[in-house]
Amino acid sequence: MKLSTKKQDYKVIRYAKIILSDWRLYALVLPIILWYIVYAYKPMGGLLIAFKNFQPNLGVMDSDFVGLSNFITLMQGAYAEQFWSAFRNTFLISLYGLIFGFPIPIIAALLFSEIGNATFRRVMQTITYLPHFLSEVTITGLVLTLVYNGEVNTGVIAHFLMSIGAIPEGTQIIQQAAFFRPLYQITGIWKETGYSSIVYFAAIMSISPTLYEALKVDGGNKFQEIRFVTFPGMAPTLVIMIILRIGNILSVGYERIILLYNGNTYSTADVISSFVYRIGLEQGNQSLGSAADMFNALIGFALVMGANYISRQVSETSLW
Amino acid sequence: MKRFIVLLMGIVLTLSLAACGGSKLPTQTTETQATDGANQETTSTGGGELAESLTINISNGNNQRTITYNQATPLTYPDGTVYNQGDLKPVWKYIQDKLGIELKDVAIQDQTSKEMMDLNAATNFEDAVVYGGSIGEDVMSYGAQGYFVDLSKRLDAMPNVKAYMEANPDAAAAATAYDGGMYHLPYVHPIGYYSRMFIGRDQWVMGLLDSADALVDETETLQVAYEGYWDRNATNVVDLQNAAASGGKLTREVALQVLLDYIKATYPDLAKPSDLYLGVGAKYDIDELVALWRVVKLSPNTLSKLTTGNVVDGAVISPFFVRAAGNREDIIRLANYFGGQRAFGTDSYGSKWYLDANGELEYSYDDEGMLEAYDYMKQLYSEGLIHSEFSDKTNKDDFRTSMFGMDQNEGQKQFGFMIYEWVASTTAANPTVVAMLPPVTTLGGSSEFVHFVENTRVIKAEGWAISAASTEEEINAALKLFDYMYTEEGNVVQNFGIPGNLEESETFEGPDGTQFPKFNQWFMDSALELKNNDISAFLRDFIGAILPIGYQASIGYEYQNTVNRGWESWDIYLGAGVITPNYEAEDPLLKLIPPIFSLTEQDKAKLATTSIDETTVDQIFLYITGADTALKSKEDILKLFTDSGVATYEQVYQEAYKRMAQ
Repeated sequence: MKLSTKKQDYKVIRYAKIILSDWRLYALVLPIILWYIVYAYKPMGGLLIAFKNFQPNLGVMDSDFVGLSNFITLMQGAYAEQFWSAFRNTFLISLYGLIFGFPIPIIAALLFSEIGNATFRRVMQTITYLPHFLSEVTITGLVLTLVYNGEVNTGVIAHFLMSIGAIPEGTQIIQQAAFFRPLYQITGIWKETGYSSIVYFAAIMSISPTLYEALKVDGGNKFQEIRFVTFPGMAPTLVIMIILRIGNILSVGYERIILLYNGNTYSTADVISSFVYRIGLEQGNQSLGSAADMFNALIGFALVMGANYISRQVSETSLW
Repeated sequence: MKRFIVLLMGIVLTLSLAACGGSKLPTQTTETQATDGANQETTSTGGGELAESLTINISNGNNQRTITYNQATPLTYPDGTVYNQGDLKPVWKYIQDKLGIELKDVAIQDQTSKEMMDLNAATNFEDAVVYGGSIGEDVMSYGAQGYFVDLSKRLDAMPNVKAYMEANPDAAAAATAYDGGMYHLPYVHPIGYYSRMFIGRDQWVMGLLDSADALVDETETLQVAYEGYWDRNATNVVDLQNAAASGGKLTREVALQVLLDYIKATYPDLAKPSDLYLGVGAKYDIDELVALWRVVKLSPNTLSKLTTGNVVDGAVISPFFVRAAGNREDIIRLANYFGGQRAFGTDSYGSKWYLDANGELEYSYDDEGMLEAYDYMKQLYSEGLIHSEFSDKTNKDDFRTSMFGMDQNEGQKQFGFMIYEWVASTTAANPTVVAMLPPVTTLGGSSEFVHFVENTRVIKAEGWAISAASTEEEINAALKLFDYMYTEEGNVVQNFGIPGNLEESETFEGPDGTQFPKFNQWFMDSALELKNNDISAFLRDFIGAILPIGYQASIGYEYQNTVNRGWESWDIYLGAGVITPNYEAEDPLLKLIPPIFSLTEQDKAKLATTSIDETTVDQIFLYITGADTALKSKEDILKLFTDSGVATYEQVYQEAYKRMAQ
């Protein structure tokens, strides 16, 4: 017993010494840990709401336990159609974002890296970053004005599209489900391309110039530079970013959706987070909202695990 | 090290899970509270100690509709008193001084009543003594669980409330929960007066029908879709117009000529064709109205010239429109005129209930008659007779202003013909518009054609209540405040404002001879300057009167807001004896239903398994507007309701109504 206690004491001292020796690093990580406790772990208790007939006056613990009833109502009951439609939309909107939105910041970073004049490059980068700092309310307000097509007034973009014959006269873009996803993606690309390119630009800048020089000596042209030096050099960053993106495939930001969608476009616009907002907050059915969100989170968790596993097997680059 | 971090994270996770979710109010506490409430309720508060201050939370999702003055512009009364942002509004400062109780506003800016109730339920309603807004249904439910004071046991401390409830048993019944308790005092409209009317431009009707002098060449055409409903006359005017339409396309000349010929043949006694539609003798039905709407729609040049003096290039006419997209369900009220199909049982879009001939509560939106009416509305919309943007809730425009209130603005191209709206504010928006009687229809099993409007003044779901978590002194103070609103003085203050904005020695005489407090010139000037002459908004947002709390509203302020052709409008409806539902009606079909239903916990649990909500309503408007994603048929709509659990939904409310009726 004494020996074991001594051993444990020794271990504690050893850990304490390790922490003390690197205390600056631990101090740096402390805010992150606190953030996780407050915003990620503490709210996890709220997941219990998904299994309860939650009543605000009784609180989470004292509300009646109803097992999987909320999940059944959601997936097979009265809300099934809305829920599965939202689930499908979440997946599709995110997938389109991955297909169309993911490569564009990479292309932008490549183009930025090829600009020789540093001042011009910085100006261009700053201009493309700017939309990121506008609030979603401002962005969507602008979009709604540009595509508005009322009985009397018409937005610039709607007018342009009608004048070139891309859409029929009188088309109300914001009222038609078919236009929602392109509108959402184009708005997102415009807003985030510049800012998202920072990480790729940094990855390109970290590639050793000697590799480019070596290729030049071998007679490589600009495209071969990109293909044989830049892309391989960016690969670890690209892989990690794509894993993170896949992990978030069911986490479509709800702000822009809620600001842009309406009853006419639910069929293509309503995502899990907007569904949760509507059911949980607007209608006050927190249990159902919680169940939907939990389901969403579990699928997201499985996806990120899967992506990480595949990446590790295929490219030897992974998050863990 | 890895193990240490894993351990640390594990501890954090465990602690966070353990720390989560614990209610501040476990069941035991609830019971204790209920017991406390019962003890308190046996004690008479008459003459009891009063708290020095009261916390009040009135939430309506609008930061201007609280008891605090939230305007950037200070308000200076004639006596020099200045109300700045953050002060109590004049009415509430006056009440505070009068009662000697400090009033503290604890409402959160722009919070809705629903959000307020949900959040405060989580803290046992301890954050305020008085809660107000659209809270009736929640308060009935929480009240029965002991969270709100049962006012029925405190009536001795509120003699004026007691007298009012005895004199107005409908109000008392509407505020009584399933357990017999009265947990809130409701906001009661001036019952018995017309509220909303069909209001339109009679100048247009006369210009189009009575003479060809005003007619200007038109190029618009209209693809007919509606096929008519009634067969009460020898011919149906919609049938005739459809038959005359070339390839289904109707021109103004054809539509107008057919309508004029029809009126001449069907109503030979009319002095002039417009008499079919205008004045107290109007007797048109929905088909005849549609025929007129078609002519109106096809006459943008003529009507823009009649309105502005010049033909407006590109003018767009909306024959029928709603005040704003938020009022889109007013379109559903058109169903009333297709054989008397009922839509709403009281003055609320949420109340899609009515009593059938057997007195049974029925959900209206999935009725066979309503499903047919959706088709008619769809056809009218496709013809362009209903404003194209009426159901777009992303559009925050005030259509009443843009279609009635901006006629003389340069570049104005949008003009509306007809709306179903509040008479005083709508006739104030445009000096030329006036009430038109509703289309005639049959009701229930009767074959008699009558003028009927479903919307009327009612007991509202809004009101206020006292938290049972309050101290006895606070409850006594709140009871005193509640009772004050039912005194003569309190009623004047809540309806008209404080003495500083009223004439001292002059009253306003209503059309039936009733005398009301009269707004002084300062009030009228200020309302014009600060709120564009919207008296009711000025009273609420600046003065602090007519908030949705427990009191009896007066028609007097609305009378004083009546200008232009508002009086003429009242006379038309009164003269024709337009029928409205009421609380005393013997015919169940004409009986108003309670504004809210008192639901038990079991009821609420059952409702949670249904999905009859705003999204369902969205689907109906998609059907009417023919959106690409819309349901395709009436059968699809019926299936939508069935899948959404309408049977359970209906059963819950039917049982709740039976309990209340008993």
